[in-house]
Amino acid sequence: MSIVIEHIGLTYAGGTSFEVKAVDDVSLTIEQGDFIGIIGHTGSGKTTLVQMIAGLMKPDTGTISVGGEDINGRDYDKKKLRSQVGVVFQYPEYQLFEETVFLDIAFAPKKAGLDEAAQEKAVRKACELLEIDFEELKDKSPFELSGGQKRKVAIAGVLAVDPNILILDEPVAGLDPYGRKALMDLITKLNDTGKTIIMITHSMDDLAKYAKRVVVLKDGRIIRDATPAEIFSDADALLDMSLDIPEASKIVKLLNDKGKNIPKNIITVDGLYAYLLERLKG
Amino acid sequence: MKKTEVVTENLTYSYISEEESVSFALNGVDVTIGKGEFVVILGHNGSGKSTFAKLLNALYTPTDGQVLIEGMDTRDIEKVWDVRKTCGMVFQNPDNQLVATLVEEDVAFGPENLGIPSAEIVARVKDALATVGLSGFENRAPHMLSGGQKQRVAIAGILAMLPEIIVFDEPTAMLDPHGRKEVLKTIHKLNQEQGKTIIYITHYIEEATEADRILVMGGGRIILDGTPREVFSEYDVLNEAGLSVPQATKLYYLLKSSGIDLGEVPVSNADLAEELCRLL
Amino acid sequence: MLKNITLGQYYPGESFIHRLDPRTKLVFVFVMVVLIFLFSTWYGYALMFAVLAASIIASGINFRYLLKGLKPLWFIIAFTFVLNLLFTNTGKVLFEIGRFKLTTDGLVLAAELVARLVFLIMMTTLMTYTTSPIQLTDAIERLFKPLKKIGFPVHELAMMMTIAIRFIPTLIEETDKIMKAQMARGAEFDSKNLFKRAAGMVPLLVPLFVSAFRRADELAFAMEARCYRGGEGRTKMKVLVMAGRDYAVFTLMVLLTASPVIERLWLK
Repeated sequence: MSIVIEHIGLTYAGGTSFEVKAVDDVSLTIEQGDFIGIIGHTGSGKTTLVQMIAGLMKPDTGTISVGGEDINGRDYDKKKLRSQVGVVFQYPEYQLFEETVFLDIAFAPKKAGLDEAAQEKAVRKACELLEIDFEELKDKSPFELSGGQKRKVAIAGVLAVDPNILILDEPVAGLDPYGRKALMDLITKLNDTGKTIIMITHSMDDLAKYAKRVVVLKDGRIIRDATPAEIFSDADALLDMSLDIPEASKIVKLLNDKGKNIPKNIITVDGLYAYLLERLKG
Repeated sequence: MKKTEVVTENLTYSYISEEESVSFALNGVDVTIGKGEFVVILGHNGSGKSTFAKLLNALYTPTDGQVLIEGMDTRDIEKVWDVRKTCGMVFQNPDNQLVATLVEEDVAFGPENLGIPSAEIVARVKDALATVGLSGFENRAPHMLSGGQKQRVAIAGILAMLPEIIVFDEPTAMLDPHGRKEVLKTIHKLNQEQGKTIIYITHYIEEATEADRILVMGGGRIILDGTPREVFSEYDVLNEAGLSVPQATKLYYLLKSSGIDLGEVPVSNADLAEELCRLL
Repeated sequence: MLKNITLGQYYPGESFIHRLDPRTKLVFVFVMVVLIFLFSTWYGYALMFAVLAASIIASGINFRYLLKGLKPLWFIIAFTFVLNLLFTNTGKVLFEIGRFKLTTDGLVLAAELVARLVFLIMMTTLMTYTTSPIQLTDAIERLFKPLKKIGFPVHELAMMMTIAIRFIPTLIEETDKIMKAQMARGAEFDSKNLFKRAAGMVPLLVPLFVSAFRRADELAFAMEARCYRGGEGRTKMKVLVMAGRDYAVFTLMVLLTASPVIERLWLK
């Protein structure tokens, strides 16, 4: 299921003195199985863009097609989109509301029309993916859980409808190193099974390691769309936009500033290690 | 001999957990922090670091042991306000610290609580905002500011109370990289230019590279205490504590494991680059 | 983007009206609103509207913005007009439709009521346009201070109002976020069925309330860390001080208060 975005735009508070072009003539094609990172300074339109892809906001201009259908078309039933596109918002643990963990995770499947047996199956499967102990936690109130567990439950709630496309807005925000790695590994696993991943993040190290494609937004427009290696090899351009670069790229830059000629497309510590090993031991 | 600002002795904080058993958030912590030190406290979520922070300014009282802030015992009810005036605290969520509808009024909140005369409050607010780089923001509404700006307003609010010690409880956890940089820069400025004692709590190891000293917490105890170089040299202990080392240090260890010894453990990217340059 | 709306639509400025002590404005508006209901001749109304016009000019606020303040209430105004027009049966009959008589008295009464309503709305709107929420809270706190003696929690209420005003934009933003998150899971907030709609609010209200309590908890810690301990011993950075212009306005107010009495005596 591919996503085709053509010339979409959205303006907030149009016609007033507060008018802001959140998204300005953006076109993008995302194929099934892509792993795309979306980066850009705060206010560059990232959140607005993904919310439009998820059908939560309507563009003023242009069209968005998912699986060949215009999601804002008159005859399109948004309900279908909900099962195809899952959205994990920032700090998703704040959306928990049901009396039990089971009911909360089952919310989306229930709304999608699954019967009780199918709901339970979906919840069990989601719990397995997130390494949540189903039997131990299913009847607990989500509000009794620790922060890390809450986040897992929230994400399970999104995965429970088994969406083809998963949109994540800063999924590792606030997690410690263990939690971060565990979540990124899961996201990669989901991508390996064929799901499309669209991830907004400020964590360039994660993109360098896991993403296949990076899209750079500035002032509502896409200014670059390439592989992580290509994007991060132009460190200066990113730093000029007040964007971060992977730690490995920072080290590469420092070495190159001293004339050591390290290839700029090395963006991970593992990659740098391999390169240095060769060069030093050669 | 540095004047001691913070002394904890056998600091313990226990509570009754869900299963009706006693749980220890902190279990016998002994720490001495001198005036003007920049101490970073590292630990994964649940290591006890946040509890430690709240014990420092009497928001929590110890269930055992004690905390002395410039000689004042935090359990002394008479001294609570002096303790909090001396030891200020900035929290993780920028929004949930700001109480007023205008920046200058929020910064004035602390001094107003202390009963400072009106004219002096005006002067303190002006100075505090200048220190955090927000002069001119007096009449802005807090909800319109960026995360980094909000945190700086919160810091100004503490500065206006003229503290000696400032505790920062994961102040950058909810900020974007730009905001994080702004806030870290401001905090280092407070330490270097104004000599404030800084106790900085985080789980981001990259933020610890410029500390004078790092305390690593795990299971309610201090498991490492030393300079950044000393602490980053304890790779295995850190891993076990659920923490990573900075990427530069990681690369050092990788190279070392393949027989390439760069010498001293690098603490920052710059350190590593320098050592690598000698070999390349 | 909802956060761009300033509560009460306060337009900062340096006009005479802006610089009045907020207590003056509160009391003046209150008195004016009471007075408009006490006049009964066109001279009286003309006087009051002259005062209103002078205030508008003195505030530097664009008249169009003030008319905008009337917009949401046009229905009530129109309704009042029509109701009184149709149900007043005294006076000379001008027009008749079935049981309803349009009379001169009806016209006059309807016009009077509309004039009073419009005056009331414009006067209070002018006040909120020229006085920030925090100033209003400070004014209320100062005015009600004497009640502290009988145990009325004046400071606490003022603090609550300030915090509430401060968090409204933040909460609006959060509501939007939660709504979108739940919509993405299939929640529907625009059901036609009233019961369904109410039940549909649960995924929105529960997280919002939980979040509000969490905020309150964190805010309480932050306030205590800044030595907040209630109103005892607290000073204020901005102390409300009456100036010459405030006394001038109070004098005007006293004179105006005498007017309905004069009006009645004069017309007898």
